[in-house]
Amino acid sequence: MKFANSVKVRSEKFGSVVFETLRERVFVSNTTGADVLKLIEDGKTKEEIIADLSAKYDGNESTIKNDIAEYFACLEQNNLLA
Amino acid sequence: SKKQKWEKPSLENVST
Repeated sequence: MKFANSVKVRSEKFGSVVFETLRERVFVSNTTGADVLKLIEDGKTKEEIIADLSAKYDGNESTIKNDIAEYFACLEQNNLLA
Repeated sequence: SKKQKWEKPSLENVST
């Protein structure tokens, strides 16, 4: 997976800031969202991201899977993914 | 070795 060419991500203490330069939009993400964004930047697949975060975090695996799927849908809806 | 608690990832549009 990768971001659209017009997307830049900056890490912050609270999570991440996402700049979409084509339409001049700015998004903020919490720390778990920032982890997902970082793994997308690393070129990981959706399945790899789910596996990585399920191992890193304490939570129900199906909840984590559904939350990440929702997050991806949100990224796609906002045209942030390539 | 304690894992962090999972929190639902959020993405908020703050463009003005």
